[in-house]
Amino acid sequence: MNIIENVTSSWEIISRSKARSFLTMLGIIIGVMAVIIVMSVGAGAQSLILNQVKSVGSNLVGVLPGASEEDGPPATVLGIIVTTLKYDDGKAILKDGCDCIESLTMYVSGNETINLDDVTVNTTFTGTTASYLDVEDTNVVHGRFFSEDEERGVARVVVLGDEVREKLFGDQEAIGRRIRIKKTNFTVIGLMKKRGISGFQNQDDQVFVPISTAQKLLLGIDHVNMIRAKVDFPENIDRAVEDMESILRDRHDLNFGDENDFTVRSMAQGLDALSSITDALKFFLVAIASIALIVGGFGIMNIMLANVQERTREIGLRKAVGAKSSYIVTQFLIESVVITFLGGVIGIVLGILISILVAKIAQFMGYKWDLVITFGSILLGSGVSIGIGLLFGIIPARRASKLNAIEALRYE
Amino acid sequence: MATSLIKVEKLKKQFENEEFVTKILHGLDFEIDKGEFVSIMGPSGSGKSTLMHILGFLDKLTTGKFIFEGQDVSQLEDDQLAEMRSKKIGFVFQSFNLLNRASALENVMLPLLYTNISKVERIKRATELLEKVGLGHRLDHSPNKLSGGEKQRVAIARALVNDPEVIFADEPTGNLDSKSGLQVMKILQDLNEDGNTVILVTHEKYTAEHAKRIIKIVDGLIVDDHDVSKRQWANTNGELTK
Repeated sequence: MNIIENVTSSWEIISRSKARSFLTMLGIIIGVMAVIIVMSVGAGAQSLILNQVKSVGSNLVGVLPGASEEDGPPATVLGIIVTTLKYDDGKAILKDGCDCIESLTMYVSGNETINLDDVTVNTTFTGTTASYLDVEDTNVVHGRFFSEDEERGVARVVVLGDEVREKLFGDQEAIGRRIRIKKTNFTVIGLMKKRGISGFQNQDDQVFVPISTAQKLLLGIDHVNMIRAKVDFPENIDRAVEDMESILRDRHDLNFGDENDFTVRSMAQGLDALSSITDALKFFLVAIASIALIVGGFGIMNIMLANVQERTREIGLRKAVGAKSSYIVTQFLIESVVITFLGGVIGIVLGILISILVAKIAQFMGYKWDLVITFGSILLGSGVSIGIGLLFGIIPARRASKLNAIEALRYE
Repeated sequence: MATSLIKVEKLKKQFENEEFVTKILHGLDFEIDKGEFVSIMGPSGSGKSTLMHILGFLDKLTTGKFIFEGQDVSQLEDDQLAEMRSKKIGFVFQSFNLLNRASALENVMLPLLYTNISKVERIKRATELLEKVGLGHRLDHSPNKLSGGEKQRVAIARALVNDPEVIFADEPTGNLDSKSGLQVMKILQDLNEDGNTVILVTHEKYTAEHAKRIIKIVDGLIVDDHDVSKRQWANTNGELTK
């Protein structure tokens, strides 16, 4: 009896007891499905997170005040206020840094209530420079952004994010109107383009004021929270980072061997760190899904053992009519493998369908969710299911082949 | 003079476990020639089934000699035993031992699965044999849709499918009504008339007398071995041939 006949005969056996075969397969179906869905949803979620970060711009280099370990978070992230980074530091980088730094902006921010007559809105204000539009790659739809003179001259002008405009003015004309931020009158000079959520922040729910205004009138500080530079080509990022570090070290009078009192991070580095976190998460999820697969394998072993018990007489008969032990082993092994393989195929199909569904739903909800189904996950799913069939099929198959024909025939 | 088909000398069989040694057969000597129809008769516990298992290559003897077709087969390994069963032996069991999941035809083909015979040839042979036992119209039936007599006829067709040297029938009529039993005995007698060697194991004198010769075993010893003087002929009034 050759392999093909063996497979077709076990197929017949399986298809004759559909309900039991299906229950046997269920563990494998769920396991394989889980592996594929987890890998796909994991990759999709990863793409979503990375897309969020990339939407800020992947050729940006940021400077945060405060030292940091190579891979640890900068001090400001931990809530420590460091005041060493100044407006002039940013200007110096732009002036003395390499030409690869196309533009540079600086940020301070805080939360404040804004009044227009009776309407009060609590929102984030961002003090920034005129070059904000270049660096963040955005624009105003009405009016204008503030100028460099206004940036330096503590001008009381404000540019509104789309959501803030909606809340304050609704359908009314906003340009030229006055609003109050922290008891100071500001003139609305521009309205920002609608940008949505990017970099985990709702870009439309904020207002922009010149950095000097924010520092002096709203916050009472003279440092900046962040400097962000846009580099012309991704290849130049390392050079830009080096330049920025040496300029800042020089300006902060740091001696050789002193630690930086600031942190320069490129978006690429951030992406790397983020990728390694999401990779670890994916791995973790796959490990959990694999447990489901192994449980499924034990289920198969259990049912195959019961199967051997139930078919004791059949095994005795097969032996009596001339089947060698090796044929019996092969028969039962092939049966387990066919069952698991079938379960694997069903699991793969269901896994892919559900992954597609998840991606469609996420995309429908407006997320930048990529549908990622790798050949690797399918290979893993089917390979593992066949492996489990073999592994967990061996014990029942050996037990079957060791049965004594005479005793097996007498078995009731 | 031609060598006999089966020859045993001082055949002994005992089962052992940690505590007991149970002696079943105490030293048997006999010969069976090709073309004979022998009944091995004895009460239950006499050792007749054990003897059949040894002669049918299902079990190994403990001491003594077993010569089959002139070859000493006393000390075969498991796989060699399986091969002998596959090529030389056909079994008919009291409880039929048919696979209910498979059709009559598939049941008959089962022993050929373990040979090199092609599928086309297997189907051809099995079909012919089912026709021969009067079940040509039942090829696709599952055994649980067949009567007891029909089941046993399927089992006989299965025993014949590998063209065996010896057909062993272990109480073949034990689970059948007298009419079906008669049909089965008729087939066995017809097979013997066609030149097949048949060994029947039974505890009933009447059934045993359908054979040409009776070997009587009591407590593991042959107490009697003679030709049947007044042989019973199963007469089914031609029902089988319809």
